[in-house]
Amino acid sequence: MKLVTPSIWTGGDGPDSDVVISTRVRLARNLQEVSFTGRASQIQATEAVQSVERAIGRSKALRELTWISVATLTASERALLVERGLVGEHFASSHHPRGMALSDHGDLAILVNEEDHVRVQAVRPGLQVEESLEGAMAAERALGEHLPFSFHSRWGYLTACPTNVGTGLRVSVMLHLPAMVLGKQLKRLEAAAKELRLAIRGFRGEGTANEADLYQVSNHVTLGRSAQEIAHEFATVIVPELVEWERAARRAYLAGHRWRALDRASRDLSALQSAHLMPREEAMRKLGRIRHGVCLGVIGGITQAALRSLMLRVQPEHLALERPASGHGAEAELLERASLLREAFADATARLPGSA
Amino acid sequence: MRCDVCGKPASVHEIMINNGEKSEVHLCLEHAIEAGLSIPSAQPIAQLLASQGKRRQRPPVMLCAHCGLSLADFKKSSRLGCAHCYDALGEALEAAIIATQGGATAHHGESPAHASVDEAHRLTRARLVRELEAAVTAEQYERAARLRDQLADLAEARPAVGEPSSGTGGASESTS
Ligand SMILES: [Zn+2]
Ligand SMILES: [Zn+2]
Repeated sequence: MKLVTPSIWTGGDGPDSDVVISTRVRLARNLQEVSFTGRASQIQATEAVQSVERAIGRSKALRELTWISVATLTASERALLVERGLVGEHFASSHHPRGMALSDHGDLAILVNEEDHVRVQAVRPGLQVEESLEGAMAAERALGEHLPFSFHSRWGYLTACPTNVGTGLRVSVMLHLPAMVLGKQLKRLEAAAKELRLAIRGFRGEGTANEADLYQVSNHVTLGRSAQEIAHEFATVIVPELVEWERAARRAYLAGHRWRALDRASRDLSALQSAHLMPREEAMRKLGRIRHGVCLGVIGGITQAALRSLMLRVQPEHLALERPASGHGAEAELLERASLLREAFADATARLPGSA
Repeated sequence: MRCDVCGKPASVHEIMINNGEKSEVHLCLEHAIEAGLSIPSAQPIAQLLASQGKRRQRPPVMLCAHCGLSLADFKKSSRLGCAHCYDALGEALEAAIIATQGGATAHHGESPAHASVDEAHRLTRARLVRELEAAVTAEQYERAARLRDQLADLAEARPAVGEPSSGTGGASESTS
């Protein structure tokens, strides 16, 4: 089974990548005549999977996608998909008939029988809302030539949960906000989110805690405005504002706490360079802080792209893929993770910004 | 008659009209209560009221005849059962949508281009066949007859629609 790693993990940085890690756009659609996934019989669910697979096969634009029959994946292949953020825990482990199609670069995925029959998702590095939407829309249009989607004259595209009805659009951007966390400015973010009707979630989506100071910000409202309008506001107003807040907080931190910034960076770095047993949570926390240090200029010798891919490589299943020895018990995992990080940070150094 | 939701013997039978389409609902006592239907009662007070010609105020029917989802189910899970739920669950759902959607009252923006008519008919046919099998199993013969007529109409409208053509196009299962 060909399971590519999306380029948001392994490729170059996108626009505004000092703060915006990646952009994800998702369109939810359902087939006419078939009950929504949660209420569909085994037969209906199978019909939905077959309809979508057939439509992908017939579409010139989508034929090149790799079709993945999720039920045939091994447990570790499913875990890889979850760690890459391509599918949720529930979709990966469900016993309902389901499938997915994935592009070569992993930047486009079509999920069948998630909560909705069809979910088209596009991901891009950095802040690329409108580009991601265009990618998802093109795939949705190609599918729509072969599949009759449920559409209501008043409510628009119908979804299993009415919080997605209308456009079926969810835009979410992953932001790295270490300076706002340090400056205790998250209350400000929460207030803005409430006013602008945004949802704020942790690294792994709904209900998860934040990790490495990473936050996902997404739209709450899907009805009443076109997908383009929602995306445009995200790209040109909402995210740029949040990005400026974080940048201002970073400047203020560096101006007021130069030595503390250097002290933190040096301690975090030496922990990664010397530890022999490294739990996943600690690794993520340290990677988030090191990323902050690189952005502030107090850490050199490692790139943001390398840090981004490390955030995936320290996850248990990816670690086991790269270093099979880590699969042999809890301590072996900690040993291998520590060893991976020692190698990755061998050339990294901390220094006062501006000094040689 | 069997309950449309759970298949137990039905004791409440209702005719519902939705967007001008008539459909029958058969429910067991438990699901009828859940759906907010009035329960037939042998109590003298009910007979008395009926004999006086006073119409009892009945709560509106809040049940999707297509998938059997009730308003209570929706309130529990926040998930709808099928596309028809959006019309069947009435004002309560409308209010919930407007509240969660920041006051938006209708969709604005893109709508589907013309999808393949063949696929639409194929899905309709599959649904009718499913419902027909269920009706026969539940010994709902009138309903079964109606469904058979609908299937015949569909076949007449598009005689070419049948099984998906094999060999062309279908994405093949990855084997590597
Ligand atoms: Zn019942
Ligand atoms: Zn329904």
